[in-house]
Amino acid sequence: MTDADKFQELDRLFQAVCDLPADQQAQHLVELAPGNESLQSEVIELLKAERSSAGVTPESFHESIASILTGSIETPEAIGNYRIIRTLGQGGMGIVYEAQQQSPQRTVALKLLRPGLATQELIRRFEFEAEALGRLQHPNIAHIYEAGLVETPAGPRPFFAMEIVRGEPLNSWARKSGASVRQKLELFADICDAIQHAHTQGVVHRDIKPANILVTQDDKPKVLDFGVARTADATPDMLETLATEPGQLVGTMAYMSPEQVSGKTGQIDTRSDVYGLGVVLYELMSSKLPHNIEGLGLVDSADAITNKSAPKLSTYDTRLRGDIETIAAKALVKDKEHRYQTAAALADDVRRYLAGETISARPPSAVYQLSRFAKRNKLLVGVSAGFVVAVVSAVVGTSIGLNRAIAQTNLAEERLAESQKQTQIAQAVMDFMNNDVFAAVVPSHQGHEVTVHEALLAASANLDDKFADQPETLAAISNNMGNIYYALGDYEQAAPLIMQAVDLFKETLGEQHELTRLAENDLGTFMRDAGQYEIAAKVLEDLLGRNTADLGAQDPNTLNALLSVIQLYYQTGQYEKMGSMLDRFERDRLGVLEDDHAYVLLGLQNRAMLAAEMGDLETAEINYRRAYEGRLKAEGSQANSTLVAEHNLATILEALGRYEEAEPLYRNVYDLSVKLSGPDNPDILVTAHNLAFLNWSMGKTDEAEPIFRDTLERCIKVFGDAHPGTFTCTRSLCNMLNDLGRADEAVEILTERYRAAQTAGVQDSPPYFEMTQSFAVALAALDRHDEAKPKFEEALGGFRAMLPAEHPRIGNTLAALGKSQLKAGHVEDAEPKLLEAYEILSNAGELDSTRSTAGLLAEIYLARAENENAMLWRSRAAELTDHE
Amino acid sequence: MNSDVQHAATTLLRVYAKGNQDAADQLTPLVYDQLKALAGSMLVTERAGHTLQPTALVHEAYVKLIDQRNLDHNDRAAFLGLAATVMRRILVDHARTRNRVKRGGGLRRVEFSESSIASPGGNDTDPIDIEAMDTALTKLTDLDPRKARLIELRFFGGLDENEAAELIGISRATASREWRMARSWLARELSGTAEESTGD
Repeated sequence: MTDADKFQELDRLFQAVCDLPADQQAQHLVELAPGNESLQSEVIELLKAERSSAGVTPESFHESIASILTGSIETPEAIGNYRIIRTLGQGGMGIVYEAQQQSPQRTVALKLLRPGLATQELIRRFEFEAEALGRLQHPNIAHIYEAGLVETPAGPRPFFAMEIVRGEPLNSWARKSGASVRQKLELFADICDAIQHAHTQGVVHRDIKPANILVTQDDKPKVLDFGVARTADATPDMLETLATEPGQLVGTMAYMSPEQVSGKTGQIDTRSDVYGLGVVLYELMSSKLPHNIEGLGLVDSADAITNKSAPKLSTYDTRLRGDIETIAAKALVKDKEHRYQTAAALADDVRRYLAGETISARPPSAVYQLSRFAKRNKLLVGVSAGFVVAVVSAVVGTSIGLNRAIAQTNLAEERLAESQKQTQIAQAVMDFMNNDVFAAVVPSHQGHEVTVHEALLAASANLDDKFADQPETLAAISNNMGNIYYALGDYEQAAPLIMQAVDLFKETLGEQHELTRLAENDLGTFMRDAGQYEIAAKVLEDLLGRNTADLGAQDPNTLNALLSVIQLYYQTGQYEKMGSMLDRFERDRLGVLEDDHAYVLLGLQNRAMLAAEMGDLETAEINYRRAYEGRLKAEGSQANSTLVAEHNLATILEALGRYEEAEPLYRNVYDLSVKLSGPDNPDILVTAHNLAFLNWSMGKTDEAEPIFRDTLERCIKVFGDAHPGTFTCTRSLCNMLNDLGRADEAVEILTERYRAAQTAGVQDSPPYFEMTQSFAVALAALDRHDEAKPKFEEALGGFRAMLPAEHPRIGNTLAALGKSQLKAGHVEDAEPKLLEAYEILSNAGELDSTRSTAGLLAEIYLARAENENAMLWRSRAAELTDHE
Repeated sequence: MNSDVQHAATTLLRVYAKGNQDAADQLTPLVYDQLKALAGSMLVTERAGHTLQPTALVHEAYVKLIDQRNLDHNDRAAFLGLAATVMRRILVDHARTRNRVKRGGGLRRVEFSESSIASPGGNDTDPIDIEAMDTALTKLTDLDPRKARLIELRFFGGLDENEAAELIGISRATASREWRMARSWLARELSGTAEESTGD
């Protein structure tokens, strides 16, 4: 029998009896292997060994390995000059003792790192690191008093003697202290400061995690173990360090950056710490890790950290939606090039958020920046003109400016989505805006409160020099600054910058480049909204033509230019062209842009606006409602663009006479908008105007008047004297005053507004002619018919040029002019006006004005003693009354 | 990781996983170098009773050495099996030479003599002797290679019972039974009470 055969027999017997009660085993063995006593006794020995083999397990074997190889170290009594008091804790890097230093007399935390410093080179590196660590002097960093090497049987081991910190680890502090989000963020910003200090001293932490951050009794953070990770590594690879401490696998790996877990040690730098800070922030806010790697092995964990994106913070807590989650996400970007580049930048953004300022972590969308900015401005007494969201062209009663704001957002986003070079340019713009412009507008920086305008002027002073060698960045900044001036209503400052941006982009990137095309679009829309319609038409139509030729009709750039042109036609009253361009847009975007794409929604709004202008209110309602529902779905109820769409829907309901439906919509938009961006936002002015108008329509003139007056004041401030928004607000207020029999007040206001418009250099637009007509009507009400006549004629000429011949507005103007002439005694002049007015108004189904026009005609014929004619017109007027 | 090495190792592993033993012979030195590099900083751990994690180490070597794309489950299992053997060699080598570990000399900011760590007690608990373990395992391989392999995979490779059973190609119940007997045998070997007559 060979040994192997004998072993098999041994196995067979062992298996046969091992589960029997001990007192029966021997008996069975005798039966199973009769006569083979040595085999029987060997089985008995094995069974005995099994009972005592508890220590022979893989686990205890692994422990033995460690113990055997390193020589076990129990708590020593002293290490050099330090008397050990007790063990505070142990981790992957080493063991920490509380120790008493003899000279100077003080209690320290003594950290003994694991061995591994076998070579001269590594010892030199440790000394170098130790010296750097000794230089760290920061209130939020546990100070390192001394570093050195101590001999052990397993080789020299580094140790650090450091400030002993009594405190709670960050996570348990967050749990127990009941700190608010604000308190946590303030504390977090201090942590960032500590890390930044270390970075400026050339020290990378490399192991940022809540366990390494203690919070003291007075709620101040202290960061521990700076640079220890690096000095501890024989080979600078965190994963190796990590693997020695399986219990801490999750605890440590979860805080490691993608470049760390993928073992790219050469790539670890200060931005790896920024990532660690991002994880700490994420966990502090949500009590969750960005990547749940619990239970995953190294490979899967590394995969999650390298490839999976973390859930947005708002998925855990909706209050974190917006800036906080944006900040955390930017710190956690996989590619370190796109993270916050410094811990300071991260801290800055957190503090900006806390101060209600614009954070940098965001595509440089003018709308976003300015809306955040406006939010803060309401807190700053003395900041000049409302620093307002993107745009200025809000034609009150419609929605142009609002639409442009949306278009601006999309532009900015598209820009960001481009190549890395462009991203860098965008970043440079962001930095400039934040550091040179917005940062200056902090009250504490100066003796007085610096206005946005002042800050911009100061920042633009040396713009050309500052970026002389970066023409592309200069172009982008000029474009951005120009757009902000434009938003502020300072067209003089805006124009050269916006034009310079186009020229510079053309020079550096060429005419074909997308950024050049976008800058040209900005120039065109600026000129359009500034009322320079001829220039705007030249720029935008040219751009549209070139985009179509170069990129094709269906390219998003072409579609964007097309929308700009469509809005130009709307503003200049070229409705026929607008209609055909809209047809083209709706056709070309099919298969290119999704139904809920911002451009498509914008197209719907324009379609609605055109329909409303053409008197087709049902079509307008359908399109506005679709646009509103699209926004609501895509962006939620509080997004600016949703509010705009909600506003527009209310506008059309109002026009349809469905006041009860319209009012709550306006109210909601108004309240939310004031809350979100202060009362001087052009969008809000539009809503405020319409809310007042609605109250007037509902007969609540007492409520309407103060809103109108306040809104007019703000319009003048925000838009200036020659802006359609100002005209419309003036008209509405004065028409109401006139209705209330207070024509004298109306004339007073209109005289001033009309003169101011002429001085500022007015451009033809429907709102201007409406204001002019309002002026004429108020003058006529005061029987100042000679003064009224040229105003009426100016308005009529304008409407005839812009509107279809049968438009009721033309009929109304004719009727009002005829009435004025009649009252002035110019009966012969009045008759043809009134006849034409009647024709238009009755065809348009305008019952009230048709009836009053018929009444006026009856008066004329009565005065001429043409009784038959008089009777005819009287009966026509009466007929209309009966129909009601 | 040198990508040539990684490429070679990955190719060898695929061939080995299909049953080619020559590939294993060529792959082994690559795995050895990798594991040894990793183990260099792992073997010297912080404290007594500290758990060395062969699983982590072997997995880490796998990640570093093998290109993870387009590999299947069998490839990974084959690697773990091979790595367990290599780990055993590394651990035994290390244990044999540990007394010859040279101390780093030269420059220090703070100089301590060896006695400056004052230890309150002895440190000779020494539960399992790696070299004794290796000897016992070699003996077991002659008697019952499958059980020896089971022990090797679990002790040196850090595989759990399921993984080891799957790799060897036996059911979990079988693995469990064999493990029980093999472990008892091992315990008797290591306790030094095994009769010289085992081989009779």
